[in-house]
Amino acid sequence: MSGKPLATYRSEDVFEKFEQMRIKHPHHEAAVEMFEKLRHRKIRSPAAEQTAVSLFAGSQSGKSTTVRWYIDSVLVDEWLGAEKRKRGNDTDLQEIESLKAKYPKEVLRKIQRLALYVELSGETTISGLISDILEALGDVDPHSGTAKHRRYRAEKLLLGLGYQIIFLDETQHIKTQTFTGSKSRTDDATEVQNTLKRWIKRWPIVFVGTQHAEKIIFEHQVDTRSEKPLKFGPLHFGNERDRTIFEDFCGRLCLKVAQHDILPEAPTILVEGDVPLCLNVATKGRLGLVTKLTRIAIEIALERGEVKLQRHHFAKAVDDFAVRINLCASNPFTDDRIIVPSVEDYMRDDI
Amino acid sequence: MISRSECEFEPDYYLRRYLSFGQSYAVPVRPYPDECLEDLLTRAACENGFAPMRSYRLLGLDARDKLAPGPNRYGITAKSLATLLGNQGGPAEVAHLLHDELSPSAHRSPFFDVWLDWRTLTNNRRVSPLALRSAPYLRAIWKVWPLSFDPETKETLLTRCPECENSLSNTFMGDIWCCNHCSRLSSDGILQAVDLREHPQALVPEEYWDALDFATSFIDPNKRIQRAMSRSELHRDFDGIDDGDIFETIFALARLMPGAPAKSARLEMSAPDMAAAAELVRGWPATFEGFMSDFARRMPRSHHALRAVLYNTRLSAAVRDRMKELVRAASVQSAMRDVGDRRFNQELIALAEFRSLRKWIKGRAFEVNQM
Repeated sequence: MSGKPLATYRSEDVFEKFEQMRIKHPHHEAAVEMFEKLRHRKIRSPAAEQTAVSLFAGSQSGKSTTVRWYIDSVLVDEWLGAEKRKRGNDTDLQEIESLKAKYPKEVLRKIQRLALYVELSGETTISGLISDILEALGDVDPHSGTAKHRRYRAEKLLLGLGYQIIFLDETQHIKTQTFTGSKSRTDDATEVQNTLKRWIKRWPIVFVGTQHAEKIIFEHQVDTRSEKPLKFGPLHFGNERDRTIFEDFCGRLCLKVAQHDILPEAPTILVEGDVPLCLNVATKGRLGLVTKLTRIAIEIALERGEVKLQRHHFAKAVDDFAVRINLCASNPFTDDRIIVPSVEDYMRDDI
Repeated sequence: MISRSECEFEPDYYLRRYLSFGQSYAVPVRPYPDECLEDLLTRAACENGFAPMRSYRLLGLDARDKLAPGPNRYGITAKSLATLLGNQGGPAEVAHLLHDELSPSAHRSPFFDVWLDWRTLTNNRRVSPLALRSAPYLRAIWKVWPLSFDPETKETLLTRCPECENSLSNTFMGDIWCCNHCSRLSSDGILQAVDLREHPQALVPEEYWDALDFATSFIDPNKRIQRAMSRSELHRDFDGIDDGDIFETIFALARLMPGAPAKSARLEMSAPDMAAAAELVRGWPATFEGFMSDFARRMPRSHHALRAVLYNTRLSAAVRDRMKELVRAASVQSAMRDVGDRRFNQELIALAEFRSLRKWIKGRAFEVNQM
């Protein structure tokens, strides 16, 4: 417990500190394990046909956070070490740590060249897909050139910079294979499929997106080159394993809040009584939303000048956020009876 | 076009890479010691999948085909260049490539630390397949017209694509070791091009290597140590004449060799001609005198062909004056020999005005005198 005056806990700082927080959970660890497996396959046998894996879950399940955490804590270290070795210096763990401390996380995340993290924008046509990739690669003019020239450039940079794994986020934007509409529209979708197919042969690709994406990307050809999809969400209380994961997560979150000095004391309310269940219902079992709700609750508490997190803060947070965006029908913190929606309901990702 | 102001330059490499993300080339490029700015920009564009001209456009320049090494015509700054290249060393690593210094005379272009006539340097891309195999960059020395070989490997330079017979230039080529005419991108973006490295060329016969090394040592940025040794071999006549001028003299003399194209200054010299010319300078003045009498015998009526050298203002005036002296002395001496008498006062010959002496000889003045 820090001896700092209570008045210094301000709601303005909460957002930033929550941003830096990374909480491990079994799904996250399984995902990282898979990323490493794919990447090491690429390192060991770079010429062999690589494989893809998908990571589909509702928004705010912590998918992108997991990818970012993986890059920040696994790949950045390795990249810094490789950079040093390239210059003929031996790698020294301490030195890498000090380098990591010297730069903000986003700097190293952006300039490392082991993993390419692409966030797809809008409705992705072949040309849009390649421009997004070129932009992520740091191409000086991602929108210039014909489609084939840009594809050439993208592959050249991927090869030249020695990328080992590609993450495509927001893959639900990839254009569907339609058999309606103009010829060019269907052709374009085929071309996206073909490009992805060719790239999977050369780089392991992780497809990240909402459950929508699952139906879109995995045309047969891509599917045969894929690993079993990573399960990432939603955690339903009816399932024993999910329930443990969810409760563990709440426990870790509770400790992290104190560790990051967001509140003077760990908000044990997070693990007391039916709070985990209420959170589960309110967030539809998405871990990313649990942190978000907790953040909002803490902000509410601090704005009221209180440093102890209480149930009514959560109730207000759920009203303000989860109920407002229709994530849950009613507020489980204030309802007399908690109604747990079905698994199918949890799987819906329209919100 | 990217405008970069001077003040926002970030000295820390990683932060610089972060801040200039999308403005610097994704694949950072650092110069090789014997690579000129133009070749470096070509290589940087190619390694990033662009056509060479992209580098100039990103620097905010419209430089069409001005790809011969030369002065910093466009006022490129070291910082903007370092930002474009994303090299770790920053501006300090590339500053030497920008020749901001004033040319000693209008027709001189800087070539690393020497000055050459601008016509001695070419736009054309010429490559040595063997050298490209050992390190993938264009050597600046390949842009020196009279050299038809790579000084390091002694391989004859490839100027035309062996497949399509077009001369190599600087449009989109894929990789710098590809022919730019044969380069095509397939519809799914795969480069199909002729790899020039698969076409090794004949080596220059070994007997010429020593003389050729002597010639190239005066300008080759890789041979600065040999240059000092080569200079020590030179006759006193060349004292105070700079290295570029000595190379230009060798080039000019090579053009006098039998069969060499004397008129055009912008042609490749054959390696044997360059070697012979290098020997003329190395053995100066005796070799030159020998060459001259040979030359006179070859073309007895037109000693004026020597004008190509004697009145070539691209050459250092001091060298030309000395050559004229040698030519005159030799022509008088040969005229004297024709007289068949050795009783002339040598000092008188040295002092006398060349033209009148020759006139006397031609007018058989001496013969009349004897009678």
